[in-house]
Amino acid sequence: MPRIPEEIAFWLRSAGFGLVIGGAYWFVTYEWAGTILLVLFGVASAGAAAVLGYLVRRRGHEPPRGGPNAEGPNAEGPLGDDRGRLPAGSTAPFVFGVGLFLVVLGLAYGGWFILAAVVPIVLGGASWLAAANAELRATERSEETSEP
Amino acid sequence: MRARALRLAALVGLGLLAGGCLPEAATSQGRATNGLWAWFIALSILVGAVVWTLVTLAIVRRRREPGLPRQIHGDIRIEIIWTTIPIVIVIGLFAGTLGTLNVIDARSPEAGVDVIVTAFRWQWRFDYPRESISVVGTPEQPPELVVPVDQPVHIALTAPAGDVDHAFFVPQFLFKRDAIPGRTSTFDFTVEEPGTYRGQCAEFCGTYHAQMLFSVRAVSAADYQAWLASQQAAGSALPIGTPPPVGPGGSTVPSNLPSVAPPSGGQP
Amino acid sequence: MATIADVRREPAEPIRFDLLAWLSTTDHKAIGVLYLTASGLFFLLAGLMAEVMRLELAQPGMELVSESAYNQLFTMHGTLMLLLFATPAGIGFANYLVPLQIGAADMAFPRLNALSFWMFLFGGITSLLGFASQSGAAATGWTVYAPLSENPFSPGPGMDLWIAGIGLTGLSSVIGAVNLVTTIYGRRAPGMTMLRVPIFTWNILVTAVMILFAFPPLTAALALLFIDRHFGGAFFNPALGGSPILFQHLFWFFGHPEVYIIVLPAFGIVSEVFPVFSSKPLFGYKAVIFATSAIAGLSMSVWAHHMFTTGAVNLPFFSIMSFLIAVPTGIKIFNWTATMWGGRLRFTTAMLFAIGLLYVFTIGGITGVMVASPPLDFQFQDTYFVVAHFHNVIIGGTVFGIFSGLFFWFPKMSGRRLDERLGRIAWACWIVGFTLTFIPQYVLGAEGMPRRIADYDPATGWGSLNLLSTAGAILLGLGTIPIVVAVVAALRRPPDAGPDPWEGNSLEWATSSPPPHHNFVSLPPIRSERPVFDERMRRQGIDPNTPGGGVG
Repeated sequence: MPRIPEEIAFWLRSAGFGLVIGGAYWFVTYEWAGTILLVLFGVASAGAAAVLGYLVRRRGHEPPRGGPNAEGPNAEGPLGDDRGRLPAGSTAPFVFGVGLFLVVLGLAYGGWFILAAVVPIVLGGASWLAAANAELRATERSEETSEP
Repeated sequence: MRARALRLAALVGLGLLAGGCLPEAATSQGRATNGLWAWFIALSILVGAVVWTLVTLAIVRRRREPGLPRQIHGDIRIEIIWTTIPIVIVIGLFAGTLGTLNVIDARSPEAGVDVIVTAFRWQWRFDYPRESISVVGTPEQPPELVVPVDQPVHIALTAPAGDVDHAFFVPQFLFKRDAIPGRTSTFDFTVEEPGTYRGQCAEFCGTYHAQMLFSVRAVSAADYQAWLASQQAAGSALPIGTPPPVGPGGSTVPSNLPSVAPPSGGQP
Repeated sequence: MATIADVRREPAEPIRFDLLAWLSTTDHKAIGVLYLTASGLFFLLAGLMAEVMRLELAQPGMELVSESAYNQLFTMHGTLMLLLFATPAGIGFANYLVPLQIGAADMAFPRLNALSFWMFLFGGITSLLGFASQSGAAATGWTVYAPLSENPFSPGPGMDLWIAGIGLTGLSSVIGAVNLVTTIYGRRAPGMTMLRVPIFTWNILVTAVMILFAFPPLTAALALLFIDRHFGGAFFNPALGGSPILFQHLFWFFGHPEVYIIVLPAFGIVSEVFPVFSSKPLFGYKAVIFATSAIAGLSMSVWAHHMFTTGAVNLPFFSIMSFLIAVPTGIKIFNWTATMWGGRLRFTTAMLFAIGLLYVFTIGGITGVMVASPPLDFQFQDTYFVVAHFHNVIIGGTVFGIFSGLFFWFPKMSGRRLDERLGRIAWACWIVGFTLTFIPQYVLGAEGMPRRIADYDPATGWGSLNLLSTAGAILLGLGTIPIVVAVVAALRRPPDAGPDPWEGNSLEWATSSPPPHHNFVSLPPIRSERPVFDERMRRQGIDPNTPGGGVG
């Protein structure tokens, strides 16, 4: 059995702590709000550990790149994300943010703001998707050309 | 280096000043807190002095020659030492805390005096259910909670359901407790020193929070009986349940005080 | 493709301001700079509010502002300092440094990263907009306790703007945290194992995980409060069966970890600064990671020590957990001291602030143990003792850490060093100013001066210590000026820093200052948590990994 990678052990410790303290808290206090918060903290950590464990297993016990066992002369490969492309600048996040700004103003001042927020949210969302798609296509193109 | 030492001495002096400034408690419960505080301040000064000395020594005894110092990555033995010693200290402090807490939380079985304290924006109301006396302050005249010395005072503290959080705080009792709408909190105190003690709301409750004052006047048993008689004779005492006058800023005044069972001694 | 990195790479020119480039950037470095700039402005604004409050309190009597204005000021001072300065400043350093320290080209989700900045900024502005409304900004304290924050007591848009704005900022923190965890897990360079990840990045990982668990309860509490206010809910209305205590549980389940969310990045910063300016490795790298994780875990289970005086929580449980958190904090302080021990110390401004943290934070840690004891807390809760304690922790921990980090990494971010002389002046002002401001407040609190009061009776005798405290606060304000001047002056000078001005340890020093858009041209081999130090030794013909670790 391979050693549990530190990435997963981190969440397992967190899960153990939340569940143990949550259990102890319940039997000491019988107070439900804190118990729920603590136990859910443990459960959510356990969930994160489970997802990461599943991902590692699906890759056939190969830890994530640059993982805990990267040693030896072959460890210095290319940068971890050289295949990924850096996104070009995009105003989509800003425009989307303006939309959210209008939404929270609407919560205080009434529905018209929320109606107005539809415009930047749709515009920002659409240009966000367009930018992501363009990036994906560019990545695929560069992989086609670079792979023999 | 001399300047640093002076600064150190000044800070330690100020720390000691802070330690000496916890008021001498007027209640038997508060005296227990005074005792606990003495332990805390002594250990704090010790721990603070050790840490500051170590840091100062590290600076004074730094390597002055050129060249790379020895690259020390750690030492598990020393880590264990400076993990264990603080654990022992905090467990000791926790034990002292528990002992003091038992004194403060203890309920006296003696009859003593029952008072229902109601906090509302921005005033106090003290009801003496057994004597059918009620005291409410005005913005000009903060109310006075009159109690006899050397007798346990059983307080039932509450706030009306339609109000906000407040806190009953008498600095010279070294004690405060929150008044939370819809809840009743009970505690005892026994004043040992006759006198008038300033009190005020300690949980922020809105615009005039700073003016939500009261005082506690502790008098001899005979004077207390005389005060009760004068209150009843003057007829100024409100019967229980009468709405108090409106506070500043048109605060929401409880028209229906929560039905609070009079606190009985010895009951948790 | 005109990216912001291209604009910023012109070495000889003063930094040009290109609005469109800043609005459209997805570069983690530019976003980090945006975070730091915005949180720095919020810091200055909140500092001004503090000065107004201190002037009001200098003497008994209402002189400068009304009660209502005072209540708005302390509410927004706390909100800005905690949620719009300290939290995003940590995230700003994280944004700039985490990809660099792990040898990545950017964050895992660059566009999401930009969105989380804009959400934070707009959320912060929203919470401030209350000042422009007729009924003023929120005036409930930053803790917005229900029922005080319910409609009958806090009518008007100020409170709603606070709830909505801080809700948005909270969501932005969660998005930022997801991004940081993913980046640290998925973007590390080959060879960068978890136990070679620089200690700052470790602190950020733990901080991000705490954000993931702490902010959702806040968002939930704010949503429930909003329903109470506008849709006839009664979650916190005792008249209809709701529970004010529940609000406090939800708030402090966020609020206590929040304290560590703002202090752990600062701990991470000084954990980088001590080794570099002592020319030694961090003493007990694994012990510090353990202590950081232990602080995070324990901090999730101490929330009700803010509720000792409610009479509605278990006192011994929360007391012992709060006491225990002093142990890992102590471990960190001892490890930093041991890092300096026998080192060749260089007293740069960054190092001075880190050393200042050691001295000042220690007092805050000790008074923290005091308020963890319920009998003592019965006296100190909601008084100036607590005010002094948390300012001691936040200034002595977070602010000193952030100033240290600013002087340490500003050359990396801009290519220019900050003026050391101005830095030393600021440091002296902050050490003396801190002492003058907050030591009197400890005394005032012990004597029973409650917090959040706009005025006090002259008969209390609190006047002289308040005056002393105000004098200290003015010194703190003056001490901020040299830092602002140093930043502005540096940006007007040509670059002078070079890639590695301090002889640093971690990967950010292996690239130019400021780094190119892709961060690295090439990476040194990563064989320890100090790859740049190892590389420097290798060039000098010394093998840094000789058994025993002894060099020289």
